[in-house]
Amino acid sequence: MLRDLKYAWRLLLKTPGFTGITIAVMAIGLGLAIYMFSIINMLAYKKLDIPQYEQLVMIDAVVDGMLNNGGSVYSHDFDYIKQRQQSYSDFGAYINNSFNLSDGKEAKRYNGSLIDPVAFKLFGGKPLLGRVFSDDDVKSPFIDNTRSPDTSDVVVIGYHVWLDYFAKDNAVIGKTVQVNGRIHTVIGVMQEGFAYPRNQSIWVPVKVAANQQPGLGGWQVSIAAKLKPGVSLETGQQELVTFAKELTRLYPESNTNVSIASRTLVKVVMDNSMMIVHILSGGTLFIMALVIANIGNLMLARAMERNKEVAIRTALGAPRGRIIRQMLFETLIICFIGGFFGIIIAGWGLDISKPIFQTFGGGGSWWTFELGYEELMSACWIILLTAILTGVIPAIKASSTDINSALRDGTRGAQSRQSGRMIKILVSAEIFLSCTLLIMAGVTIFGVKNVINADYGINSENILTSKFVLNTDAYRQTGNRNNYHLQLTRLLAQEPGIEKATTASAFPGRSSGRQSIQIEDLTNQNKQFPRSYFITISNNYFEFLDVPILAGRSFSDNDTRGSLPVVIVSSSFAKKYWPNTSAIGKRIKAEPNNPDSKWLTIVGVSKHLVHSQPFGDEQFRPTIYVPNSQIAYQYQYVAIKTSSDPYKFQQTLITQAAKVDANIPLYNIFSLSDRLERRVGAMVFVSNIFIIFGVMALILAAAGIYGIMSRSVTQRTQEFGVRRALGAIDKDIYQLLLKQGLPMLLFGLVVGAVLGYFVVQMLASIILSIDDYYFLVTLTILSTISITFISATLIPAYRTLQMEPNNALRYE
Amino acid sequence: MTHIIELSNIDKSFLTDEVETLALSNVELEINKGEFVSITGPSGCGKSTLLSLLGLLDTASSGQYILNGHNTENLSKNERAKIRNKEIGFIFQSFNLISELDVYENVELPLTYRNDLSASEISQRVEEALAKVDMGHRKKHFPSQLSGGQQQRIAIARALISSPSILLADEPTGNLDSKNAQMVMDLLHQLHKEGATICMVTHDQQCADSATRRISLFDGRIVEDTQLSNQAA
Repeated sequence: MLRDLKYAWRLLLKTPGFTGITIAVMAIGLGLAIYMFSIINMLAYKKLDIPQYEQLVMIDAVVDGMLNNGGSVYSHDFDYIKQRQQSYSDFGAYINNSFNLSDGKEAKRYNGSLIDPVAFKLFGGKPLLGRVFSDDDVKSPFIDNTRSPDTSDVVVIGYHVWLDYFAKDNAVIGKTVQVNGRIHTVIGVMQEGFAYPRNQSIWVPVKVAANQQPGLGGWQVSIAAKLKPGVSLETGQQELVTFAKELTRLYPESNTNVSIASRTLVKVVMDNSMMIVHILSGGTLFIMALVIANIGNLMLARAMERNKEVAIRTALGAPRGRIIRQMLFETLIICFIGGFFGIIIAGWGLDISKPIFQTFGGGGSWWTFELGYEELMSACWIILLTAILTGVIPAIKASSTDINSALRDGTRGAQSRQSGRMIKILVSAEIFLSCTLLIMAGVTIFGVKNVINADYGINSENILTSKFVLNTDAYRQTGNRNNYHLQLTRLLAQEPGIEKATTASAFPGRSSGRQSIQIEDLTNQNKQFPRSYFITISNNYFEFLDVPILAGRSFSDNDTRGSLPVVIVSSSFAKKYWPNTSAIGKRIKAEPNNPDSKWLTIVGVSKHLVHSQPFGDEQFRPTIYVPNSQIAYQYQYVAIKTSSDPYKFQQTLITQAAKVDANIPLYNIFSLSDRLERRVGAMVFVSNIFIIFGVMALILAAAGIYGIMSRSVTQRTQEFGVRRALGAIDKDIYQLLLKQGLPMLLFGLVVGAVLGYFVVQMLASIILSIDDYYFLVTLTILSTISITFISATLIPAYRTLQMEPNNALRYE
Repeated sequence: MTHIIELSNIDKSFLTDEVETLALSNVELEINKGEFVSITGPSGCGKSTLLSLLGLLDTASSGQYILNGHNTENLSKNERAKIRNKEIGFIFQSFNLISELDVYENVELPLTYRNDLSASEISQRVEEALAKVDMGHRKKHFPSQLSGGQQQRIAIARALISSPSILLADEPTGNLDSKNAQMVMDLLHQLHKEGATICMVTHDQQCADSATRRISLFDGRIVEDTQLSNQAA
């Protein structure tokens, strides 16, 4: 065996050009495949270090067919299902939340979770210091419409908070800290790396009260549950859907178009983006298929060139298995060297991807961007599989050489018919694989470019924004919240270089949730209420964004807590419900099932702004704006319009906010332009990956097709010599080659275009409106591949035809 | 006598690894219509090179070559191809049939490079050529399904299809057993009797002696040019 290995190594060194190209193609292909595998595995299939992870499921609501990502099950519904379900042994609620930690002088904001001790235990975390929760830590369960579900006075902190806020204080257990303005005692510090359910570092115990009223609004929860032994995810899901249908029947006011879905924790984080994972997986498979086709073809060519050597070995008594083994060693050496460099490329790619993924926001704590043991083991399997796929067929083919025909000097002109068939299959496969991949890549790149340049309806230049949460007891009342807004915006507007300031629960590109809406005049709603974006804003919001009020008026200082409740609706809202009349003066009600809900009078119609991702049907969803003076959400943004680079005013923003209330930290400070860009960050990443896919596909396809056609033409040198001896001129040879190549080209293009069409339809359903690009992109790609194919056919033929026919006839 | 071929002062040299090898030197040769010329000599003496020059498969380094009254010196690639197609029929040692084409397609191949014949004329000519070599019953076979002798007969039919002025045969019996070799030689003699002009390179002394004229080459020079007593009937 060692002798065969040495011989294979010697042969590879003898042809450094071939070896170098093959290893390079392999390294790039495997590097991309390992990189993509690591990303896809991390995003969708990562095995987390949670005991009995396979049985842990996360349960959320599906509202209007849209799978929500946390905090979407009414606490009444949670209790209803918990009392009746049979599939789960543990069933606990949690609410991911933002927590301000404060010592009264300085506040810091962290992601945290209000979590049922039952749910907390499901994640299997062990404390580094102190202890985790017991049921006794929850003072009283909360009901749906309570102000805050936090009734406890204890908190568990994560390793990160221990380091960042408590400076790794070993005596932290028993110390007190303000959590959202309320004193809590630290009872535990979790071990490093524990950040479940998603990316949390503070946990406060809560429990949902039993026997609540259905769907009154207020707190909604996510659910963590453990499947009973022997119960599958699907069986549990079926039971949940049955409960969802029961709830819809019993409570149509709150539960119409509401269903329930269960997923693994990793898939919850990916939310509705799983299709992107599938598309990336598909693209990776196509690239790998192209790489395997290319390498397989190169190895096949090499095997065919060694026909005579194999025949001599066979004639000397070498068993077939030995010949196959020897040929396989060459492929294995190439694959393992290529794989080694591929792993380095993948590691480098993951390293540079880290900051890109961080801009997406909201990833899982297990998003590591490293080649760990799991990834390296998978990489080895990918390399081995590639070696087998690329090496076995050439080795078997070479070992089945007809000794007699190989050893006798029997040149008969053209290549064999079997070899010709193999070439046709290889070329058609390369064409269709590259065609499909390039269509996917082209359409995605164009589509994403369109999304990046999308019109949200505003000019986002020179605007700096920051989030804040008014979640302390001082801001229980809307009036207090509004006072904070007024003070903050007034202080900021007085600063030199700041032209104006405003606050709102959402700016374009984002929303602050959707509300069920009742239209006063619409009598046929039958208790099924449409949902609209519901955004609370300061009076100068539209003026700040230079957005025109198309009818009626903007909000004013006269719109107060005590005055007539008013709203401004988007033109899309007005057009949808009053297409032929003015919306001004009409009345609507948010949360119509809540008996405390009031009728809101429409006083203005604004230009439609996009409060979602700028594609798909969601971008047309109507919006309702209410004044912060009448209803103000806890979660808000503050925005300043600056005369120059907005990031220069970052410190000013923080300083002025601290002057208003030091316990309310600002966080996530970004320019509005960057925020909008981050909104489509995942798509830009996908687009960049597809640019790499596209370039790779084009290079591989061009190199592959050229390689195959060049070899095919070279093999036919003698045949062309014969034809020329019989009177064929150069044009006849070119025509012959094109005529023979046309079926391969057409077959590859048709299959590739059809497959590409179906893939594009899948893309269209999740990413963007791409119909405009499909035909243009497809036409360009078909032309490019055709030109590549024709060049790959004619260039080697031209070289061959430069020979005198006499030399061509004697060519070996 | 009408000269089909007139070579005067032909030299042919090859440059291999910066070493110039003179394959033919000062060759003077005239071949008349109806002659059956054999060219013999030891390996490497330039026989096949001479045949390649005669068939316009290669160009001379210097000298003049007149084929059927036309000077071939300044012909373009395409003009040489046209002359090969109409004036010359090739028979190779290794048959050089195209394995992807069946017998019929192999034979019709030279005619597919012309535009002056209708499909029915082509068909008729192929049938006639195949009949002449007694292979009409194998026209749907592929070369790999035929014996060496049968393949060479197909190659001869292909050489005849254009009714060329001269048949150039390069070791036509070199790859055949004695029985098939004799059959091929009989066929060539038959064609000669019917008026064909043939120029044949051969190692086989018996074949060489069966021609009407024998030319011997040595180190790229014609060292013997003998009229033989074998005349076409």
